[in-house]
Amino acid sequence: MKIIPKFVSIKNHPLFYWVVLGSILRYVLVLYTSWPYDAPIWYKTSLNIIYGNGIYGRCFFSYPPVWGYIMAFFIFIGSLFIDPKSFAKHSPSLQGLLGIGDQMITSPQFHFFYKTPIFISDLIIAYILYRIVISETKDINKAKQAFLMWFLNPLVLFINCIAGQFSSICVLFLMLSLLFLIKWRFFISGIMLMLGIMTKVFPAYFIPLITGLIISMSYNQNNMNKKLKAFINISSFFVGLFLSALIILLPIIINRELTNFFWSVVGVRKTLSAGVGGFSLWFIQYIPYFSWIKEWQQNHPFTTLLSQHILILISLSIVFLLSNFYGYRNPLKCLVSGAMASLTSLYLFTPIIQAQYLIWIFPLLIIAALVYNKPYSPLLNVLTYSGLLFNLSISGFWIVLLPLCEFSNILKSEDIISISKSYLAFPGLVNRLLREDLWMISTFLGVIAILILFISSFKNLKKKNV
Amino acid sequence: MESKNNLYLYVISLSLILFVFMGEIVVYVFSIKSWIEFNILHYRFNNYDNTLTLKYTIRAKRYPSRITIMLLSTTRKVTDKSIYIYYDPDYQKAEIDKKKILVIINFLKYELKIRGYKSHLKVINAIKLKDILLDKSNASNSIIIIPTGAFPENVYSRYINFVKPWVKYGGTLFWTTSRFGYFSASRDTSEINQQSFQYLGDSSQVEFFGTKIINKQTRYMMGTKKSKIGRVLGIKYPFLYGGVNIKKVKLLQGKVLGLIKYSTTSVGMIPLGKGKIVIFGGFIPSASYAKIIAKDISQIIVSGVLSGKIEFYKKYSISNHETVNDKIKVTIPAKYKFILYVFQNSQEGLFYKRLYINSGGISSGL
Repeated sequence: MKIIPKFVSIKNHPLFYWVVLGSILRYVLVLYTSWPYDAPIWYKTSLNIIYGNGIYGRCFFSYPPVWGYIMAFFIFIGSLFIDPKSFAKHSPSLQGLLGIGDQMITSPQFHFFYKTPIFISDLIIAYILYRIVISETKDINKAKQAFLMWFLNPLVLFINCIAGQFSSICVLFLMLSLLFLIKWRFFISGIMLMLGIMTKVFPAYFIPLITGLIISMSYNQNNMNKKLKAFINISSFFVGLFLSALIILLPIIINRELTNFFWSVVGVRKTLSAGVGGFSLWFIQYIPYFSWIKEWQQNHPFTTLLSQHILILISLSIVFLLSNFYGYRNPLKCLVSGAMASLTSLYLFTPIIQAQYLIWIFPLLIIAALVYNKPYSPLLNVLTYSGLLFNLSISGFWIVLLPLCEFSNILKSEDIISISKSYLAFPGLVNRLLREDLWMISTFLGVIAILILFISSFKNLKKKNV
Repeated sequence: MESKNNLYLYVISLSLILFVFMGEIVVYVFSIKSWIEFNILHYRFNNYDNTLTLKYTIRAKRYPSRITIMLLSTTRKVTDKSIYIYYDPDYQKAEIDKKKILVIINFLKYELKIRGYKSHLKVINAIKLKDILLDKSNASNSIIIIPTGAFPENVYSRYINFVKPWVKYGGTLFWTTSRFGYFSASRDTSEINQQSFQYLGDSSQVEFFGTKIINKQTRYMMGTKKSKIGRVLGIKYPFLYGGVNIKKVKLLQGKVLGLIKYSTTSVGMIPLGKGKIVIFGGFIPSASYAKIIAKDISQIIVSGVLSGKIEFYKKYSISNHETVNDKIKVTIPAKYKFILYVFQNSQEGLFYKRLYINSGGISSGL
């Protein structure tokens, strides 16, 4: 009997129609599109998990395990109804198409199951943004705007629904960790941060900020023993961090997969000569005059690695000190600025930054723009469209439609592949190829936006009214 | 007491933790390894007409599965030999990078483990390699894998060859990349110097086998047709770049194990004295092919195909929950021993069962 009033109250929620619209839009995109570079890896990983190889048994999966666990759960549910072998089709016609190693096209059923947790995390992030903005501004319109700025953001839609990349799950853990932090719940903040780190490593870069902020918050309490308080709070955070790591890694240790885990997550990446480019300072290699930089980096990988680590270490140390000195005055504001400073440092100094990494900073930009009235909305747009342009220029937009060709009669995959091949060979105006021109334009705009954010976030951290 | 404003954060966090937990349970508890059941119902040696009869049942528990059953005869008792894989970062490599070598090592460990191979894989450096090659008394119980594309100069150069005597004493050697014996690696981390006086080039084939055995092809040339053994075992490595000439394999009483094109095989075995040398076609364009090599090597080793003869094989496509009952009857001299190797064909398959059969009974260990 209570169901009907409950449904009416949900229906009257200011976000109800947007959630419905966003969900329909998402599932239209989710089912018949994929990123042919990544989807076969998720397919092989899921199949290996189902067959009992564990996450790292045959080393297709090169991330920490949390995404593997979450995906496993959803794929397992799917496999109760559908033979997992039918989750993908072999497509030899993909052979020779740039960078696509596995000639495999994944099915709409597979997309439904593996992209659903990404959809859920997207929805929760948007809802948390809504709650933060409403609690800080009491302005329902701004809160709705925050929800929509994430939930209907074109790059977020592309990365999460079409490409099926799991960055938003990591962003969700990170947001929860930071929110618990400013609410003085350090233990659970540690748990959430480690879940983020064990999804994708980048939240580890937030540890200096968080530590600085905990010290700052603890020292500015009306408490007799401030040092003890700071020690207890930091300890709670790190206990949460390590306990969470233990729980996540325990089954891997018990099943003697730890070597494979290190090999897959660290070893493979360490030996990879990943190159330089994307939305980092190394983007200049796309400008014809600086194209020698790519070759220079390949000949000096150690210098690249060392400069990356030194610059990031310096930036994060400054973040630590500033958050330590000024964080207590307005922890949320300090957290937003500090997190932006940490992320922009990471973006600028890491040798290669893919477009999907840009969405990590979006929730921070949304909060800063709507809660603290910072002029970040145009920068958010620049990052959104430059990221989108970069991704679409890799192999052309059409390539994401391959599942639509293989699993419906609307389009022919041969046509899509032929268009993509023509695009890949299409000459550019400034560079050799058109796609290199597009990378140059998109990364130039994106890096300018990141530089502005980098400077302004450090300035904001230093301000006395933080 | 937490305010109602914060309650949603706890609900979300706990739900997420629950999802992660359930995922862990799925990965390590529900994904049990026994999707397939294989049981021998009855076996009988008939000394009167030299026949072996086997009745067995296969059942795919949950998902459809493709299964191969292979019966191999051998005159000698087969044991799981010690496997050594050579990798010394202080020595040069030829036509392969560190990453691919590490992929081969790592995958080989896993592939051997899931096939129930009893002996562990040991990674050895150049000094240890020399020690093993000089210990000829253990040659017949050892397998050495060279994934670096070149023997180190302390065991093989223009002046010394500790490899050939070891193989002749019964050792088994796997060669995976570059052309067999073409280079000799110096203790140096630079690229191999192709002009160095130390490298032997194609004459090393003559040094080992008395004749040139490799049909050099272009790098990306792939075999298109499967050899009989390759088809049974599911050998996937396709490249013919440094592949072995099939006529020479037959002339030297070896075995064609890989894919075939232009009288060349991507994987071939040539006997040498009491031992054997298995040569892969020598080109590894990506880490995926390094994984394929690891899988193929473990399949060749575990199946026992190097020292036995395939008497019978059959492939089954079994629907989920289907049970297949079948029978093998082969005529073979009574002194022979048998290895029954049952395995799942798919790339992800985990089901591998090896049974050792003789007139005294059936055992799972070799």
